[in-house]
Amino acid sequence: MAGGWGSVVVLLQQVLTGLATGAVYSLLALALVVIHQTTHHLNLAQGEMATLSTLTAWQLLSWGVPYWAAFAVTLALSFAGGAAIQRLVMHPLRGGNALVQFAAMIALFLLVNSVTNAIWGPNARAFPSILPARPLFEGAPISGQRVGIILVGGALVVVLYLFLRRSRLGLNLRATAANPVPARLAGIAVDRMRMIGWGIAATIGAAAGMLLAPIVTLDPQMMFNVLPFAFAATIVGGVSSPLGAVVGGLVIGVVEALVTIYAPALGRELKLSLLFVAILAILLVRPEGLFVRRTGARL
Amino acid sequence: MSVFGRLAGLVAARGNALLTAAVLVAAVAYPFLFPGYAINSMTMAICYGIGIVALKLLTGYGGQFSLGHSAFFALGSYVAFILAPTIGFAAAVAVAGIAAALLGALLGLAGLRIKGHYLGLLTFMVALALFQMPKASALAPITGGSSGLFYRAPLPATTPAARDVWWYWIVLAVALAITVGVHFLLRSRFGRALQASRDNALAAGALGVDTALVDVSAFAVSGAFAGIAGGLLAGVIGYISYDSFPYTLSILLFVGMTVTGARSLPAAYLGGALIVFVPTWAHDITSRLSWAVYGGALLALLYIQVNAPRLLQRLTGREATRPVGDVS
Repeated sequence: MAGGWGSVVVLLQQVLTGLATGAVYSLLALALVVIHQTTHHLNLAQGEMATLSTLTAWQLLSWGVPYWAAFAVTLALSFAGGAAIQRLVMHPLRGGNALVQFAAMIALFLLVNSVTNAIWGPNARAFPSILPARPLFEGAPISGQRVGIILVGGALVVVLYLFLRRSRLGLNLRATAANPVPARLAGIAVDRMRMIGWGIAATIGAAAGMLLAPIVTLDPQMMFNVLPFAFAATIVGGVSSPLGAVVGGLVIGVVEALVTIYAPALGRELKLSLLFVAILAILLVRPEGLFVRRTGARL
Repeated sequence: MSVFGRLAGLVAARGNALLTAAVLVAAVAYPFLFPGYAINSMTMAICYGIGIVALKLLTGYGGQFSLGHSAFFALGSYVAFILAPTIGFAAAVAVAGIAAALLGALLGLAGLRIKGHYLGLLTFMVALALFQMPKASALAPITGGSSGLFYRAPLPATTPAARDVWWYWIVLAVALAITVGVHFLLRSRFGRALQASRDNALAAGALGVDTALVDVSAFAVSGAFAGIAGGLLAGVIGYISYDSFPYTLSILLFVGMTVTGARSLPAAYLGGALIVFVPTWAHDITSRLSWAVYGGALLALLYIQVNAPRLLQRLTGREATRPVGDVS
């Protein structure tokens, strides 16, 4: 590339590539936000659960199930699985303090990771894409696959945002997290809301995993490598803002793509270190995230 | 509070000086009682125990989550090994403590902004980030890249077996000093301010406690002790590389803290022993699912811990006592 148009195309290409990766970060970040909105907890095992879902989908596909059927079945299984984990693991521990809950998520993380490894082994697998990996049209700077990720991811984000903000169930979910006791007094089935919250988060994680799998390597570590970026996205956007999570994910995806092309040594070897420095900077300037209103507290 | 925590609390409450003395004598005499292979494992367990004491200061008493204490171990070990050839091992470990304290203060600043589980995940990221740093080409000339660093600390012993015993006593002495130090630190003005800040930062602030200063200091002190433990452990092993202190160590330290009672200092060393021995046991049960066994056992322990009062009540038919004011 000799400057001029060549470098502009490279830049555009990287921005679009970054948007596609960012859309996936956004989705997983959104899953984290949903859990936070319904339980006020951060699910450390979110990424591992998403990997398990994705490998389940791969298994279904390898048995010859058509793509969209496998997609739908995986989403349904993930919802059931997430709700079951809440009911069987988190619910019996509800009397514990934050420390216990956090340790429980660590245990979940180890359990799910270990089970995934035991079933599918450490090998990487190819996961089919809904859309072709070739450029969208002749000379286009982006593959059809990545356009698909942006579109599907974007649609999911909009649906989820409307669900949480505009629907009765979404309101109940948020009320449960904000203050469970008055929520229960107001007639909300708090325990059921928590199960639904975990189910939804697991479903979003599954969708994110299935979208991401074709462009990265599908192995039991897949989401472990993505979770730090999704987490960074929630910090950038604010832990309680779905919109913030989306914008945060896109920004981080684009920045990552640009660093990879313009400062390759930095991007490859010190990616996480850079990410941490960026998070620290954001926290110091605007601790509540870019998209959350400041709130006061009472004694 | 866990069963171990209760037991340790009971010992402390009764002021059972005799038992404490007996445990100390047994600890010092251990190399004579059980010579051989296990000494090295015990030394490592004590090093991890120091890390758990540091974590209890921060999390149990300070209410700040850290899933990044392996980063302090790693930083401490590298600083110690890089400086030891020029300034001597003891001085290098001291500098390692200072370096880890600086990293701790940095994390403490972040901790002022985000709380609870999110701080846990942020510190976890630090552990991940530091994990990849020694391998980076820019740092490789200093850190030895992926091949690591070797250092043999001069000890007044020549045979490997005698060196093991020396290391055991050195580590034991440092552990004792740090544990007693933390014990008194928690009973000082600073310790009371720290616990007040944990229980209610707003109220503590209204009463004149500089909660920001206290919280950041706690992170720095905790980091320093974990860094010292890392430096010592590196000396014991004689070799470090980027994967000597992986992020999984952070998880193990956190779990070791939780299951031995977040506010029981002596029980920390039981947690250290768990870190050294449990993975081997789990591996013996099933190698493919060893982490699943570990996770399952942890969940079971947590369940007992949370529901013990209720289960006891059902068992004895008596009114159970409620644990007062736990970490939240």
